[in-house]
Amino acid sequence: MRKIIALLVVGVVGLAAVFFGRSFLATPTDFMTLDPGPFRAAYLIEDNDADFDLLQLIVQAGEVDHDGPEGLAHYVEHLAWIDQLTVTGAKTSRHSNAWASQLATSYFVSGPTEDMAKNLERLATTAKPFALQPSFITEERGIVLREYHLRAGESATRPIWLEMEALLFEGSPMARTALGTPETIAEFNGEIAADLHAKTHSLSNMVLIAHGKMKAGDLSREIEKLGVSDPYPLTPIPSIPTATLRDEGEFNGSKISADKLFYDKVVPLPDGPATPQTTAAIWVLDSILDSTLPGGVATPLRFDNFIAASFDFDLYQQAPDSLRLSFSARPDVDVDLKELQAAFEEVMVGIYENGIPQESFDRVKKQQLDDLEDTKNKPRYTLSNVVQHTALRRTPWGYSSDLKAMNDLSLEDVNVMLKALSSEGRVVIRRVRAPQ
Amino acid sequence: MLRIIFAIFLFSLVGCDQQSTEGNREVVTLTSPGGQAFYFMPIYEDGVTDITVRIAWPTEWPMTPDRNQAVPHLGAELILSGGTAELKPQQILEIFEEANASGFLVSSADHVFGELSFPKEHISRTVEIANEMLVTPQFDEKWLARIKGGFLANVKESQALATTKMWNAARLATVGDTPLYEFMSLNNIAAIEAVSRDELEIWHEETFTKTGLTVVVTGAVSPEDAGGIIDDLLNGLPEGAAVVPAPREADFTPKSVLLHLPDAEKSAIGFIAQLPQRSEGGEFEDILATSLMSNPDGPLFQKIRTELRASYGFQAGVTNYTRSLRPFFMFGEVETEKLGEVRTATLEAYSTYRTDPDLTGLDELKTRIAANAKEHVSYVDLSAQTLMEAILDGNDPTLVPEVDKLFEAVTAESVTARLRDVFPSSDKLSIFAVSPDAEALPGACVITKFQDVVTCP
Repeated sequence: MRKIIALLVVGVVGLAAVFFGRSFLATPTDFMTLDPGPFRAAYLIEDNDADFDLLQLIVQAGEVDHDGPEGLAHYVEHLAWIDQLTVTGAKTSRHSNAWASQLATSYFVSGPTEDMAKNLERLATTAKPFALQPSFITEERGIVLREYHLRAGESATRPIWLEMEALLFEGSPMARTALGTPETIAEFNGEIAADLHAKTHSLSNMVLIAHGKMKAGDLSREIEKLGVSDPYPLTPIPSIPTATLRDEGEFNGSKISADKLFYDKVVPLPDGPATPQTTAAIWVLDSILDSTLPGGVATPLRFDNFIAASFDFDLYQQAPDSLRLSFSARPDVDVDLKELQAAFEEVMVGIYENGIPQESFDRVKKQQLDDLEDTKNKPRYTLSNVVQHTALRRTPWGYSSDLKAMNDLSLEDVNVMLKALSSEGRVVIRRVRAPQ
Repeated sequence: MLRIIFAIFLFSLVGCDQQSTEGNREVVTLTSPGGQAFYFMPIYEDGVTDITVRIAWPTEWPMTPDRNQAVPHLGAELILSGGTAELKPQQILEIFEEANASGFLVSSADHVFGELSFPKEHISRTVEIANEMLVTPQFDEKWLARIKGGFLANVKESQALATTKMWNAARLATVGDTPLYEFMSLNNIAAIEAVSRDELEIWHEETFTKTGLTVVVTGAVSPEDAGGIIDDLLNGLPEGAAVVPAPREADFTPKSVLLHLPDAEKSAIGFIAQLPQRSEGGEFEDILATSLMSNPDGPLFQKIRTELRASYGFQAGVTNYTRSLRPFFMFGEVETEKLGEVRTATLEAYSTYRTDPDLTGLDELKTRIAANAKEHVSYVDLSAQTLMEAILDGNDPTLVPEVDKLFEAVTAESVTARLRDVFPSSDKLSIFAVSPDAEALPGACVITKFQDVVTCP
């Protein structure tokens, strides 16, 4: 009888779940962890509404993992991808591509479910030694240079940013950029590219991420066909300097079109590497500091006073285990850059001393929760998370973890993060004047 | 006992508020109690609580001589930023943020577009504030100086780019030294610096009236409430005079121009020619044809990057100078030493594609674009934007809810016919390039300032 009652209760509650469209019966599973075969890990995000399936390989190595000419990891990515196209005879497509960053190199293919086996094989080919002609490898250097010019060639702010990065991360490979420079690109050659590829591109240093309608069993069978590899320990993210620094400078920018203040600060995260909880706390703190709410910089700098004509404020996790504040602003008419800097620092000191007000916290937390709950495509949200975390060499988490962390977030958590931000850390400030 | 529990449960389900879905996503034309005609597409779906009102005010300002063409750009931003007589700018920002509401104004060459989106429980407050901003903008001098400064900074940064200068030459060559050219290119720094409050007030008075506008309402709202929202939003605007934007004219006579900038860090090349306006049909074929052309598997990428090894990427597309001037373009940044070869290779690749296209990837591309289009119109605000574009183009707005099916209906035959019959032949393309090498494009008219393009044959 008890069994019957239990079944009925389950049936009724299940019916309610169907009617109200909520899956409160089961703990949501955002993604599946599969037997990785030769890979370091394999994740599947099931999405029956996806029109096409995505397979993405993330090599957990990037620009920080060598000491050759800057940008070499990006060159290796170009060569590995084109080599794969040549070897497999696959066609290029806008839905299949590759990218490289400081910490990761990635290759992805999107297509119909029935192409899954073929596409996985394509991706796995990126681990094989290059079969490209030496002349082609040399020519690709020119293509990489064209890409550099397209993305950064005429940038007014990139030289300023590069100089600030070099100071913030002095002596650490984390100061390297994936795009390189025209001078370092000129140093690329097939030999050093092949060496870096061999060092980083083993399947056991890669994570496979799959999204779409494909079935876990089918994918697992294809992974199994690739065999197994010896475990390859995850390369730790290079550490960044922790010695305090305050470096201020002022100069005339050759390309900048209006006076601008750049202020960057890096401090240690209070609880080490990122978690859903620290991520939620940083999201909320960033939103409050960037707002007109009490505890934000917009009202004192831009609305109650005409000091900052416009500004960008960004607070985020800096790998491996730090918190970074990036602030840049254009001063209002007749406001000096030093005056703007002083006003910003004074406002921040006031916020550090007073903490985040409960009212501002409640309001922003509610907005963030509303936004999370309104997420239309949760599998895609999880996909984005898993890719991002894997590329930052973290154990990934999905939508439900972010939602739970935001639900559980307290004002105290946010103020702990604010306190961390208030510590001395490493600060680089540049006041850049535009040509008159 | 169980039967009682179950009965109570079922009763509670029956008692749930079931919103009527009658008329969901049906586009109809209505008239507000105040007499304003509007297009209405209700969205009565689970989880949808937003309402969007989008308005297009026709404008002739960008075609009128002796008008400062920076005014519509600065004016639109200033109306949004300057607050109202009773509310400071940050108060409006906070009210809108708390209500999860948003609004924007943007000036195009034919219309000034305004859009207001808000959850249905915040109708009255957001509409009241938007009405005040629209009817009695403050145009505060300090805010004008602030916004002008930001606008100037952006313009100067953009105008310093070699490719901006190249496209300035292309616009000047096609539409001439006209107010429209100035409106599109925004390279008259002195004019931007000179924008005054008086000019802004004249622009505001001439533009924001109750005559000639097109209004769209989408979202979780009844027809009656939609009419009320429009009347409240437009309340207090003058009747104004009818403004019918005249068709814009341009000269797309083929020419070949090299802008020689000795200090340029890179070379680039663009090809343009006119396509018919969207109201004449074929837009979906154009999107698919140019997408396939730009695809990494397409003829441009294959020819210029894979074979010639001269560029990181090469793209094709269609841009809108105005609603009636709609150039087709191809563009890429290329290796300086190969600029001449790129010109020849691009013209050959285009010519072959136009007359005998390989449309192998068409079906997959259709599926992907149709899926994106379907998702696009699932959003309340994007539905309003899509609806407005269809109306202003003279297309059937009732097809907007199923715009994905319009993509699916495209065939290889219709794309082939469009390319063959409507796309310009390669000898009708104008070529504009920029390079640090004056000899990089043999046979081209070489200029050192983009303004000198008017001297080129």
